[in-house]
Amino acid sequence: MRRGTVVRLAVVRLAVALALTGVGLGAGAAFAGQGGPAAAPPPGGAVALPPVARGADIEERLGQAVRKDLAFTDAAGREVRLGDYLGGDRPLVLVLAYYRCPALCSMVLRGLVEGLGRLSFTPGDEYQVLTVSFDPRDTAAAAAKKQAGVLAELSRGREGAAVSPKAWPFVVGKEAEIGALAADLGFQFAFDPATEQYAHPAAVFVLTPDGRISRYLYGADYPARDLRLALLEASEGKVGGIVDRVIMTCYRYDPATRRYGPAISGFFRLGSVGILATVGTLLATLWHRDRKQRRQEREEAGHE
Amino acid sequence: MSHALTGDADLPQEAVGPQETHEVDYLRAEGGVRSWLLTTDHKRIGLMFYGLVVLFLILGGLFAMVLRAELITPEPTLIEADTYNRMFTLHGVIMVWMFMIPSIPNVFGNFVLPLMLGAKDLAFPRLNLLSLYVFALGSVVTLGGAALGGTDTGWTFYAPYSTSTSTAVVPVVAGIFILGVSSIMTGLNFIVTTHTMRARGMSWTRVPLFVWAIYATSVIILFATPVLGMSITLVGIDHVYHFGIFDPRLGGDPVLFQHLFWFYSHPAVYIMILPAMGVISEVVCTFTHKPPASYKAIFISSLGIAFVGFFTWGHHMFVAGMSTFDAGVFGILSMFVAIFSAIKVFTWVATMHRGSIQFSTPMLYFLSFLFLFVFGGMTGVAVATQSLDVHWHDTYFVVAHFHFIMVGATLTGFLAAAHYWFPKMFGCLYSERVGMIGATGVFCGFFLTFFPQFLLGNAGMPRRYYAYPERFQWLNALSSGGAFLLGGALLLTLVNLLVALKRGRRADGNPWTSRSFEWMTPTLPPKHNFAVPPRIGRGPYDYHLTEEEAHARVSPG
Repeated sequence: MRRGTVVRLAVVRLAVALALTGVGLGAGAAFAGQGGPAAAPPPGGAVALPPVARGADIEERLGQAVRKDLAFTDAAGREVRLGDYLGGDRPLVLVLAYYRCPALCSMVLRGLVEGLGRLSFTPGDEYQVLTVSFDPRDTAAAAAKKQAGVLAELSRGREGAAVSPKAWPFVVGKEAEIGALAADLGFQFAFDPATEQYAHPAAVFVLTPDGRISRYLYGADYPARDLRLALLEASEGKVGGIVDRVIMTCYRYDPATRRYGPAISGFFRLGSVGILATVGTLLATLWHRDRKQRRQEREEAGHE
Repeated sequence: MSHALTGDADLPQEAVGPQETHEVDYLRAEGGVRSWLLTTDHKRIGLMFYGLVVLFLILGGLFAMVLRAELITPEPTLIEADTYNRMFTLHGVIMVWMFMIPSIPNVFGNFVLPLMLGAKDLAFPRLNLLSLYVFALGSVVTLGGAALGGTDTGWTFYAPYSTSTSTAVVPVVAGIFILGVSSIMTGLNFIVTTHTMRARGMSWTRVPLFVWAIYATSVIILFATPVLGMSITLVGIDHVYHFGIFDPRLGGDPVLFQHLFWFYSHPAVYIMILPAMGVISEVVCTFTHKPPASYKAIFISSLGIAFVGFFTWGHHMFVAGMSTFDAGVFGILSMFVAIFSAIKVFTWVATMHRGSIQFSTPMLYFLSFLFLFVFGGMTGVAVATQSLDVHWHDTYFVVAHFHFIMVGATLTGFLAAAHYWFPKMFGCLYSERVGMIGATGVFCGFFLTFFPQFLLGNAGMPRRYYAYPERFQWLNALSSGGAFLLGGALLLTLVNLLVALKRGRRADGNPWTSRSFEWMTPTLPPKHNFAVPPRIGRGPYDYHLTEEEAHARVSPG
């Protein structure tokens, strides 16, 4: 039930942040609203779970930074740091998956590949992807194998356009680093000695270019719209064009449904801009016309 | 503007006073019901609005009387609790949207604004007629909702209750939406008229202060009313389809509604007050026979209130989960309104200084206005203070405060205008003595009604409650007594004016010896106001000129 509390907190925080923005904007009613369809109750409550599965959870740490100096080993066996994949203007899509995972990780990766394939953004160009294994027993060789498979699939999804391995590295790490990263992300997983598998939640993380957690996307399928909006949000407008920014205004992540949905506040913001522009133009035209008229009249009076 | 500016220069420049024209006045120009219902004459449309808003004032007032009668005793007596809730909702809805907002602009603005500008009508006469019918339609829909059982949300329609109550929310909000459309039409018309229909020679500094007030009001209407339309539509949609836009159980946000609602409804207070302030400016100058102490101070503060009024809405939500920083900002911005208002008050008082004061009914209403407005305004500064608001929020203190400021100001402004322009509108004079008795009664009744409510609120009586502890009874009884006195005084005033219509002495063209331009037309203006478009050669408050000179400088052609 902790997740319920966390989600509620996120709503409050979002509302307060938007209210503050609204004060700044002043004009127009720019306020928080999660206008969305009815939400499903948070999963994992009443359903009986095997003891180990109860360890799998996500505690959202939105806005928190991850430690950038955590060291990992990439598919080529080189030592890398998390910070290497951050920086610039590109947001980072981070996936935690282990390479011998029989089911869920593959589903997460496949869902992500499918969503990213439909995205017009180019990986490595407008955004960066990174897979970190949370199984310390995973090797660089396993990472390389998994990477090749995933990238080939993504390339197929992108109509054959090649995807550079640099755009989506797969790394492995030691227990301490993995633990530190998982803690930063609020990703809770547990090892089940009986099956030699991990119980873990299905989610991907979208990080801002400077390494703060911008959005959690849950489940095993990631619609292109949600990915696109999450990337736009994480990049703080640095990725995408003006149209994207207008679209972003109208959508807002809804913690209740865990999807991006139409945001009432966005429509209000657009409406307010519409009102301001219409009435403003009307008044400006009238005042301009009036000044011209008076000038003319003065000139005429001068001639008389 | 075209007709005022197109070459009338060839006309002989005789000093024919505009009063000497022999056109039939607007009341007799055409006969028959059809000529009224299809008229595009701003004066007749103004009169029809007059009839409607007085009707709604009576209706809203009757509801108030029933409410106050119920509150004389701590226990339920007259009506059921449900009826009580529906009644105070309707009282608020009718008084706000069907009386106070349209009252001064749609009646007196419509009637005198073109006369003051030297125009033959508003810029869009048909739109003006349409706004009357849209207003009537909105009223019918709203009252239809009332007939279907009304709604019990209070006039603020706070979500999520308003989206889940089983009462007739939808027709009422639909009616308010339609009323908003009418409001926008009128506002647009006034703005364009002020810009394009001013007579030749009327520069912006010669525009009467009432016109400035109406102009500022219209700007607020255009900016704010669409937001009300949007938010109230969402309430309606939410009520019917349960989208949960404002319902936290469905991921919505009820505070969002409060923000949206007050973004309109706070400026709406200035939509109500500014026209009253315009009336007051005219009344003060006319009855002291002096120009305003500072013309600029009055019109700039009007525009200032219109502007700052948009940044104060948050003070309604100090206890609805707002950070102390935000609340502080909203509180300070709200206090700016008091600064602009104080500028006005001081200017009016300074105008009286060394004036040749003519004591009359409108002047008496001015004095009531001044008292109620300052009292209401000062308590406004008090409730804009976070720490105090936490104590007074949702108590009778707030009820008393907003009745003082918006009802006190609007009602006394409306009544001052009703008396001041009565000779212009109907060509006859009312009984000054009865008028003054009425004015005194209105003031005493008003004060007696709402002053005890400050004390009640401070003692902790919440607003909108149907029953209360016995220790509050004497103040409540006092308040109810005041309400009946107020109702009686208003009735007396109405009777006085109605009797004057039948039996009043005929007024000459300018019974108050005002210099303002609307009084330069014949006693009852002809259908198109001016036989020849006038040329303005002086300001509206040039009391230093002699009567003849003042007339001569408003010449035809």
